Amino acid sequence: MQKGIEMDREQLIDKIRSHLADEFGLEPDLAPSQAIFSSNLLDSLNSVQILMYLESELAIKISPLDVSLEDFDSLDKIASTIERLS
Amino acid sequence: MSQNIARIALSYATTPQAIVLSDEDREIRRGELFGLVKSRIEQFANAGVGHGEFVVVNCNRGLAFWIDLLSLWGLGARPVCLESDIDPAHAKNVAELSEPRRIAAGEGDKIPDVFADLERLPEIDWTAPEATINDIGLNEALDPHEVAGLIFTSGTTGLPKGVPLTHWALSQNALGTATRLSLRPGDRLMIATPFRFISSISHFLVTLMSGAEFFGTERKLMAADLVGLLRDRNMTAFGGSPFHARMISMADAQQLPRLRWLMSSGDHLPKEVIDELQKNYPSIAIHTVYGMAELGGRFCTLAPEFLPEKAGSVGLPIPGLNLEVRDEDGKSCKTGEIGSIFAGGSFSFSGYYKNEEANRSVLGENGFRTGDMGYWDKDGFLYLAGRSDSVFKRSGLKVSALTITDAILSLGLFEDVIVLSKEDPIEGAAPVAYVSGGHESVTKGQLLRELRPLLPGNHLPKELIRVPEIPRTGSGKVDRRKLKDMLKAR
Repeated sequence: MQKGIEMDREQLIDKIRSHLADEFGLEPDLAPSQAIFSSNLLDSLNSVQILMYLESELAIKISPLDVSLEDFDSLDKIASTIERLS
Repeated sequence: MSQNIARIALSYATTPQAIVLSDEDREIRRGELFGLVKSRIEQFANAGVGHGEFVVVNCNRGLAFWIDLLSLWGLGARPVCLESDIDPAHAKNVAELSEPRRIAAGEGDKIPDVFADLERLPEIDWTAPEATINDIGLNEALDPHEVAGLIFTSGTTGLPKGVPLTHWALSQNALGTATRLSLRPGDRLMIATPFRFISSISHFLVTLMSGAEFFGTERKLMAADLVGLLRDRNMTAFGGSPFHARMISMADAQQLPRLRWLMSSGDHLPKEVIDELQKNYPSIAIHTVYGMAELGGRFCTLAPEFLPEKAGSVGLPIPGLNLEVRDEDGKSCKTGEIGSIFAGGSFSFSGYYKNEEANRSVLGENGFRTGDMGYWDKDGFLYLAGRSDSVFKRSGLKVSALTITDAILSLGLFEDVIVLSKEDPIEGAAPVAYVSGGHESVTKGQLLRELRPLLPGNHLPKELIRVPEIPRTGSGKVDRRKLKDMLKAR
């Protein structure tokens, strides 16, 4: 369970995966370890949109200055970053 | 003095020990740069590269791209600057236009089939000994109006068009721009845009000609990465898109105490970003620039002293270029009246490479029709007001609504489709797809998955809106007013 987030890691990954599929057209069965930025599936601008989504949906505040692209390069890494910062 | 752009660019570098070129892997001092260019020219000459020959040069190879550019220019050959993962249709077009025989590419680059038979040039010898500028075998005798290379347009309205850049246009544009941008020896300028863009090439030349250090990366960066690089590398200057400027505005002068200069190009810099930058960096000099490949780099610049009064303007033409805003009849527009922007001047555009059809539509007695719309204010400052075609800027990059519309129609999911741009607080503008008929259940995510193989990422619609029908006029054009009313009534 995340601090302040009412879901476990798997649910969190599912939620983000579903957002990436709905908003950016990524595969609905995207593997948690699949690279999403370094593999050119998404670009830097999309990272800002993902941050905005996390802020509005999960009620967590992540400053763009606190996360590097490496921290966001897969579903697993996004989930770990949320765990680290929330 | 020789008019070879390589000679001109290299002549301005400062002391032999000053770093002139760097990236995340290496730093190159002036003497080392001369040695690398000398060695590379010899490699090219030994491989048979000749004066006037087009050579494909892939970017995404770090500083090798810039060494190759200088070396091919120096030899009088013509680099054709391309991304390493070029689309096969674009590659075929490039091959037909420029008939290259050789390619400079990275070890892991995927080479398109149409380039498979090109001779692969050897890798740079990074151990080449230092040299002086007089040791370099530069071609000093070439005509300054000779083509120095080809840059391709973004291809938003069909296949990318080849823009021939002459030694004269590159040097005059860079010199004119350098006088406006006030970079100085000791400055360290960073860029984070693809190197093949004319904007990057202009930054490279202007930085060298200002005696400053050029640092480039083509890596994708989030705000933290960008700010981290600026901080860790002690950068004093940054040039990029309004989106980059927004990222930098999130930090402040305490985090980036050496940053004194910022240049935004590609699209207008929103006032709220200017305000945030000025609040967080009280002494920063913000330059706003408007440019295009057809003019060899920059067109207009807005100096920092005109902010915030002229926020939103792209300023005044650089020395050597002039502009006119004209109405549909070709008459000069009055102050505040929106019209088409035309460019002229001593190094203005003289035509796309082997493309008479395109040239007929953009060149005429009034000069070069840029395709941009704009207006003057009472003080003679230019403001941009979109495009005269279906192209718009998303995060500083051109996007064609027509290309997106065609791609969606080709899927056969809907009976009718129109894509229009919509203002967006982060991206400047974003495409919205309006669809009618066909498969009711198609979601935005499903549509985007179908479009991904067909379109670049920045062409993917941000919204999918289903309407009962797309209202059209008798001639078949979309009736935007009715569409707007329909949306209001939803």
